[in-house]
Amino acid sequence: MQFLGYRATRREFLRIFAVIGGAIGTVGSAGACAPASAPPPTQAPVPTQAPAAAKPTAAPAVTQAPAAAKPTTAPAPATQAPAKAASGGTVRLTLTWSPQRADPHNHQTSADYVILANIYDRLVDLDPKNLSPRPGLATSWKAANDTTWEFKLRTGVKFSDGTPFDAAAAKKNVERQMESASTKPFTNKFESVEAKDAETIVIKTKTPYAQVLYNLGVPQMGVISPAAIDKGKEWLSTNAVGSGPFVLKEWVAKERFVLERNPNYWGPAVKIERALFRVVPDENARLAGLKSGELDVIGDPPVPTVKALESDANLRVLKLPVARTYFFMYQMGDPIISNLKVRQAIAAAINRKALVELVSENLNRMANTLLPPEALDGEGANPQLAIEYNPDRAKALLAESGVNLSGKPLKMIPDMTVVAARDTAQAVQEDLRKVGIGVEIVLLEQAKINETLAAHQYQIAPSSWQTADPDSALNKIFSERSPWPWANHHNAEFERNVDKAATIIGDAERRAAYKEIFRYLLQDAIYLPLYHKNAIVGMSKKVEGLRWSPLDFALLSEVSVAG
Amino acid sequence: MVPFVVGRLLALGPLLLAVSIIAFLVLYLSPGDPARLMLGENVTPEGVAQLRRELGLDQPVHVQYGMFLLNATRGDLGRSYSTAQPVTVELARRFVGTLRLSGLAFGLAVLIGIPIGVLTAVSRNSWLDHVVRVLVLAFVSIPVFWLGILLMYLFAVSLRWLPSSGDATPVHVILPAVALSTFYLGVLVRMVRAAMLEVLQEDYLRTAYAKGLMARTVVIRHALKNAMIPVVTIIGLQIGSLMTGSVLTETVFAWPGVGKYMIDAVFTRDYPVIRACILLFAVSFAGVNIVVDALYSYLNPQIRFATHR
Repeated sequence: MQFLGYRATRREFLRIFAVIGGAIGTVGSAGACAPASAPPPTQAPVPTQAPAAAKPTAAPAVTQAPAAAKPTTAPAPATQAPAKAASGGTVRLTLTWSPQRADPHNHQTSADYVILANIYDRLVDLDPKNLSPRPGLATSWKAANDTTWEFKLRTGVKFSDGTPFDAAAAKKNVERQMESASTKPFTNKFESVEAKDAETIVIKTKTPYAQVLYNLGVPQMGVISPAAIDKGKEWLSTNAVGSGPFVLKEWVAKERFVLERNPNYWGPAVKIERALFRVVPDENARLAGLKSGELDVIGDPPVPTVKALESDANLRVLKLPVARTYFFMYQMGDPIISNLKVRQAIAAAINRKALVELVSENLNRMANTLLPPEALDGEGANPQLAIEYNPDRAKALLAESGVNLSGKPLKMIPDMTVVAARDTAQAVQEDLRKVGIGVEIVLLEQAKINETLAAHQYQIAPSSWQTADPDSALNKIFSERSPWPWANHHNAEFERNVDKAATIIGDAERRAAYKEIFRYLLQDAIYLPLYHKNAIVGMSKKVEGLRWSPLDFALLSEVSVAG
Repeated sequence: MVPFVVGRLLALGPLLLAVSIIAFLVLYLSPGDPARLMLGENVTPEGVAQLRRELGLDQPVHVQYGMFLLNATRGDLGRSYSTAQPVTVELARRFVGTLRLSGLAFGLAVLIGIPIGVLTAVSRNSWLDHVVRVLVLAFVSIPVFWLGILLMYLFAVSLRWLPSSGDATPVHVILPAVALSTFYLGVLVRMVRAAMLEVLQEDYLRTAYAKGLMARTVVIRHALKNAMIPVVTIIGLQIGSLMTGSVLTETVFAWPGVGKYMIDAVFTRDYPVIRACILLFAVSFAGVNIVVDALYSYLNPQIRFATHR
C-alpha cells in the first residue's frame, strides 16, 4: 500500500490496526470489569421485625414485578390491620437535589423530606389537600387552657426496631426537637413537655400559640425511636428508625436511597415492596432515564420537553400544587423603592398573566397573594386583590411619584430555584423598560445571594418562600425581627399585629387577623406576588397513587406499580 | 532513580502543609456562612449560633487550623458538615469512582490517540491526515455535557443498549468514559502528530532506514520513543486534570466522582470536604509529576546519565 508515507506493506498496516483494535477491546473490557467501588459507607441494616400475623406474600422483586391483585379494601386508618397481600414491585424515583442527613431534627434540606416523611410519622398529620391538622401518632388533642395542650397518643404502635411508641418516647422526641437547631423555629414557643400517663403528653407554650398543631405536623418534627435517639446524632445521619409506612433499607449519602415496605405499619397497607431513589442532578439525564424505562418517576423534567412528555403514550406529567410562592421582595430602605407609587407602578407594569402562560408555559400558577389560594378561606384566590396589568397607569404613577429614574437601573437579584427563573427575570426587565424603569439583573450563587440581600445591596429580589404557615412567612420575610431581615421593612403596627395574630386561639378570629395583615401587605405593595409553584412530575403510566404534600415532597404510602 | 523518587516523595510533606495552610486561609476569608446555609429556611439566630458552636466555627482561626492539623496527622479529615459522615470514607469512595471513570477515559484517549497521531504524522497530508484533523477539531470543541446527553439519547433511549446514568453496574461506566475521553483524545492526537513530525526529520532515522530496518521498527522504536517526551508531559497534565474530577460528566451521568463532590461542597461551604479535596488534588498532581519525571529518565538516557554524575 502506498498511501502512507513510509511504504508500509498491507500486512503491516493490518497488523497495526489489529493491535489498536485489540487494545481498545482490552481496555474496554477492563474498564467494564473494574471492581465495584470502595466498600459502602458503614450503616447498620435496619433490624427486621418479629413476624406479625399475615405477612404479605408478594415476591420481593428488584425490577418491576408483575403486580398481584390489589388489596380489595383499604383498611380504615384507625385500625391497625397488618399488611394484607400487597401488589409488590419497585418504584424508581429521582431526586434533583441531594439529601444530606437522615435525621429529621437536624439540618435538613427539603430533598430529605421526600425520604424521611415516608419513614417517620409525626404526632400530628397534615392533610395533603389543605394542610389542616388530623390525627397522626396523636389521635386527639385539646387545649386545656390558652397555653396548655394535651395530646392522646395512638396505642399499639411500634417502631421498626421493636421499641414501643408511648408517652415517654413522645416526650423524648419533643425534647430533642426543642434542642435541635433545625426544629427550633417550630418549637421555640414551647415551654415544656410532660408525660401525663403512658398514653398522654402535655405540651405547655410560653404564650398562647395556636400554631402548635401545625408545627407538630411538619416533616422536620418526625418521631424517632427512643432507642435510635440514644445511638447519637451521627448514627442517625445515615440511619432511620421510625414508625411510618416505609423502613429505610439503604442510605448512600448523596447517591441512592432504598425504602422497603414496613410490614408492621399501623396505617393502611402499603402496596409497593420497595422505593428506590437516585440522585440525578441533570434534567436531561432524568428525562433519558424516564424514556428508556430505567426510571418510573422523575421530578423537574426540562421545561421545553413537558409538552412532548404529555403526548407520550406511556408517560404522563403531573402538575401538583405546592405551598411555595415566588414574589418580589423589595428593599424597603432604598430611597427609590420606599416610594409607594414606584412600587405600585412596578406592579401595574408587569404582565403577570403572560409570565405564567408564556414564560413559564403554564407550569406555574399565577399568584395574587403570598399565601396559596386555598389558605385563609380562599383569601389567596380573592379576585378583589388581583393586581391589574396597566402599563399606562404605571407610567402615570411613575410621573406622580416624583422620582427620577433615568440612568439609575434598579438592581434585581433573582432566586434561581424556580421554574423559568431566568426567563422570568428577563421578561420582567422588558416589561419595566417599556414604562421607563431600567432593571439590572444580577445572577449570583446562593451563598452570595444571602449575603447581598442581608447587606441590603439590592432593590428588587424575586424570592421563593414556603408559605404554608402565615405566621412563619410573615415573621421570616417581612418582620424586622426576622433572622433574615432582608426586606428592611419597619412598621411597628405591623409587628404588633403579627404578634397578636399568633396568640389568637380561635380559628375564625385568627384567620380574620391574618387576612387583615396580608391585605395591608398587598395594598401597600410591600411585595409583589408572581407565581405559586407547582411540582412538575413526569412518570410512567404504570405508577398510580402518587400524592404530593404542599410542603413539596412525595407521599408514597398509596403508590402502586402495574406490571 | 530510586533516591530521586524517594527525595521527591519526601518533599510531599512540606508541600501538603503549605497547601493546607493556603486552603484554610482562603476558606476562612471567603464569604458565606456554612451554618446559615445548612439551616436554609429554618434559620433562627439561636440555631445558627448553636450550629457554629457544634462545628467549631466560633473558634479563632489558628485554633481551628491546629485542631485540623492534629486530626489530619491521625488520618481524620473531619466530618462533612452536610452529611456528618467521615470525609475520608466519602472521599475514598468518590475517588475510586473518579479513577474508574477517568481510567477508562484516559485509556481510550491514549490507546486510540497515540496510534492515530503516529499514523497522521507518518502519512502527513494524506486523506487520513485531513479527516483526522477535522475530527480532532470537532472533539476538542464539542462540550462534554452536550456530547454526553447526545450519547445518552442515542445509546440509552433510542437503542437501549446502555444505561443512561448512575453507576449501578460495570457497564454504566462506558457512556461517561467515552464522552469524557473525546477532548483528551483530540489533544493527544495533535500533540503526538506534532512531536512525531519533528522527530521524523532527524538524521538518525535516515541511518536507521539505511541500516535496512523495517519502516515499522524505525517509526515505533526509534522515532516514537523520542517523540514521547513532550507527549508524556501532556499526558501527565491530562491525568492530573482527569483525577481532579470531571464535574460536567459526573453531573450529566449522575456519576459519583470527586469533581461533583467538591463543587457541591463549595456551594454549601462544606469546609472539611473542600480542604480534603484540595489536599487530594495536591497529592494527585505531585504524584503524577513524580511519575512523569521518572519516565523522562527512562525515555531519554541523556537525562538518566545526567542525574547520575
